[in-house]
Amino acid sequence: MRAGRAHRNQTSDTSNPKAESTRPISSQFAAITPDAWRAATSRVIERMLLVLAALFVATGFGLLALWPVSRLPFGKGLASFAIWAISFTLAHLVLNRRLPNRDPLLLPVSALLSGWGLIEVARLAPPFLNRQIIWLPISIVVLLAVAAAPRDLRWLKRYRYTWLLAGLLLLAATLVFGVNPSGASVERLWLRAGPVYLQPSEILKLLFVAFLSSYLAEKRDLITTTGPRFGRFRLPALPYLAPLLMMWGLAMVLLASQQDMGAAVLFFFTFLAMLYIASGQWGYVISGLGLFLVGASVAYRLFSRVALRVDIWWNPWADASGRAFQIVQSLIALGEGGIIGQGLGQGAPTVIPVVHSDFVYAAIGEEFGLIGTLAVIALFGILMLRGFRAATRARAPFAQLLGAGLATLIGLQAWVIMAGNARLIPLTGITLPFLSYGGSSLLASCVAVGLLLQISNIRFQVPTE
Amino acid sequence: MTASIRRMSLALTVMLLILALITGYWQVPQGAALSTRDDNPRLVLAEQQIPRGAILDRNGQPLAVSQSMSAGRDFARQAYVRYYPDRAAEPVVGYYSLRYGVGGAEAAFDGESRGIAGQTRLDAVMNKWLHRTPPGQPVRLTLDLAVQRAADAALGDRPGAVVVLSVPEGEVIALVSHPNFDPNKLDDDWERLRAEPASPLLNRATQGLYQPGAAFQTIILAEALSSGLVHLTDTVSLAGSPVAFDGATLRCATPPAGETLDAAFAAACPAPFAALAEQISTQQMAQIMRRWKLDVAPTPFELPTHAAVFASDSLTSPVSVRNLVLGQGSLTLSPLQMATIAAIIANNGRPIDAPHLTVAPAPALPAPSIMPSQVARAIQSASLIRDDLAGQAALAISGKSQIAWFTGFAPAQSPRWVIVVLLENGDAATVSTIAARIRPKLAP
Repeated sequence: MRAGRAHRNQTSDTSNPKAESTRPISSQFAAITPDAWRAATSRVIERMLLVLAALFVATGFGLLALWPVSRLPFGKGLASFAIWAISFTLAHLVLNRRLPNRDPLLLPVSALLSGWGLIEVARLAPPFLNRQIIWLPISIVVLLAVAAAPRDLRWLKRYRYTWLLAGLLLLAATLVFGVNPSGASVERLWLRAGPVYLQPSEILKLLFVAFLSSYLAEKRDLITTTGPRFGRFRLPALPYLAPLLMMWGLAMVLLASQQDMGAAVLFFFTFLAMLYIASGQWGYVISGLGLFLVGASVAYRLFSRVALRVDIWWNPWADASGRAFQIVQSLIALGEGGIIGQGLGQGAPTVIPVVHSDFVYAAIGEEFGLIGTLAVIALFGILMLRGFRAATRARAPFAQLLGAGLATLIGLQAWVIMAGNARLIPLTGITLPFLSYGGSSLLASCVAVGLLLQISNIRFQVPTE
Repeated sequence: MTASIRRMSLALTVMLLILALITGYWQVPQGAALSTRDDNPRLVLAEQQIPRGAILDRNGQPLAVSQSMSAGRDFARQAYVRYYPDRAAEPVVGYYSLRYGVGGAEAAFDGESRGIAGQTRLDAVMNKWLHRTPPGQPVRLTLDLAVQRAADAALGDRPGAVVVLSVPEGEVIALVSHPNFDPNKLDDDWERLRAEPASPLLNRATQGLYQPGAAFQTIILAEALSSGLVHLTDTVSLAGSPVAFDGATLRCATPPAGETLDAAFAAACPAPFAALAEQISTQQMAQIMRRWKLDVAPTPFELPTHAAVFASDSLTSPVSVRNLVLGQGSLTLSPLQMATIAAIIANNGRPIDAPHLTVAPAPALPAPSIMPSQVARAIQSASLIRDDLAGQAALAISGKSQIAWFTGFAPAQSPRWVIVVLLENGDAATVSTIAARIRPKLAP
């Protein structure tokens, strides 16, 4: 467990300041280890980037609060900004202590995206702002708990079946107890506990990635090397692949029975990506894509909902005022934005039905223009690439797989919904991480970032104990 | 595993770049096409926020006003709704509809009403970027609401038109077309209005083209008097006899009071003019049409007009000249055109300024007279006079229906206004009565 030890947070590692002060100056410099130096610079970088994010978020809330049309009371705007700022200042300070060698970009990018998300909720669905604001500190506390959890994520790795089955049970519970916060009788994907609504599929996808990482970290060699061989090609070893397929199949069946298409697509491709990452074999990707096409064409014929989504994607103009209203209005909103956008609060993105959860990207396109949409794409790109970077630098296979899996999950989820908004692919009702309205989504995104922060906390020096 | 992670991150990065490209495609090259689509609700929302300038009559009476109302959804900005206090003004004022656009003066003065007329390019760009809506400017028309109401009431529910112009300024004092519609309810009524056989959306005063019939006698009489061909005191035998035309019979509008030409003209009898037609060659007729500017398109008016431009090469035979003299030929006229013709007589032989709806500076040089002023005065005095209103009621045949015209002027001595009344399916007594009911509203 050499890799595991290198990972562990070692705050006691820094030299004793009292002993240091008695040394001559030259040896004081010599006492700054490369790890300590790296930690200090990345702390400064993170702080500076957080200040930049704070400027953006403060400007956004300021504009909404000062502009009478947006109907955001000044006090509420100030309070929202304060809660956001306190949450991330706290995160920064706690992480300085617990993960001094973390990636300095992950937290500021998450801060900017979640602050932008709050601005969008205030802009697009003002009555929901209170609810979303409460979720932020909760999510940050969970982020810190996950990021600072000791013992190298072993809690997650060791009890993989327990965690996953718990997630599946929660999801299964929605089949019986599921509700829809909007009161609709369709898409009952939430569980209700008092005033809180939880969407188990948001939590399940993280547990699913953790399960895959843990399983593949142990069994990937067996899967790829012990299968039956045909000439140059080797088939995967079914006995080792079977538990994976079973768990994955169970999740897919549950999601399909919920008709949660977006989540099902996300699960499918995350699964495929992780199999590829673990095995390095394109065969999985190609056969998976083939399987997807077969499954999709079957679903197209069997489920009218799927057929409808695909049809209005293929030709929305034919029924622009009817069933394709949402997607056509989304494209019009993008077109209205142009390059520089209409300005925050100056457009009319609320003409798109359920804009605050499914079409935040289009709303940003209208009010922030192409500059805004490119910024959002870039922010998700940075988050994803820093996640992958942390994964490649991690030493333990579990950490590598978990980091890469979470980076894939964030990138893919953001891409699927943004591409749906821009009519690159059919629309699916999944949330845009951090930006969409939704507590479970924010919580899940924060947990993912917390895990990535933990994985990114790499020390070059092997501590001498 | 590092290699496969790198490849996965590359694949996802490429996907994000494709997304950036497609987003850019919708936002920049397709942007204008998308935002001008009919189903973009922002067009209506933006339109509702324009405080359109009021349209007023010449005395400042409101004809169209924008009323503020509270907006729905997240648009807490002001929203305005257009209100028309008096349906009688509709043929001039027109309509403003979020669904069907603008018509009438609302269309003619749209720039002023929106406050964008006279705006510089810089203003326009700044307003667009800052989302400022310039306040609309009020537009004052030459219309007199009292006269307009009287004309509207006098016409009643008969299909027809009334035009009142001031002499010599050419200001439109009243312009009525029936049936008309309530512009406040246009969005609800549009389909019904379009389907209605009486076509209420057609402005008969400016766009309706009718046979002039005996109303064309004014021109022929002026030309014949100017050239010395006839005198008003000439005796005409059998002035009241009917004239056969194309299977129909043309008759006097009223029984003639005597056997002289002026009496025949006052009663709009066709017989003396049918006889006169034999003395006019095709070249002379073409010359007359040119002098009265009937072979060229009329000066543009603020409202959309239809005018049948007369083609002189259609005058090929004595029969075509006769048809034209009787007002049953290839020339058709709108009531507005007829009013400008009648105004030449009222203005002592000199054409008035082109009709217009807003006060315009008079042209530097008045148009040259097209007849000696004595001739014009003689025709004025030949007209029937009733309650200080002089004029001629005349009939025309159009297919199976009888069109009735009244062309007149007031006061009878030194005229200040011309009044033209047209009725589809009317008679001489009714058009004269309608004109007489409008006359008292023309002060003094």
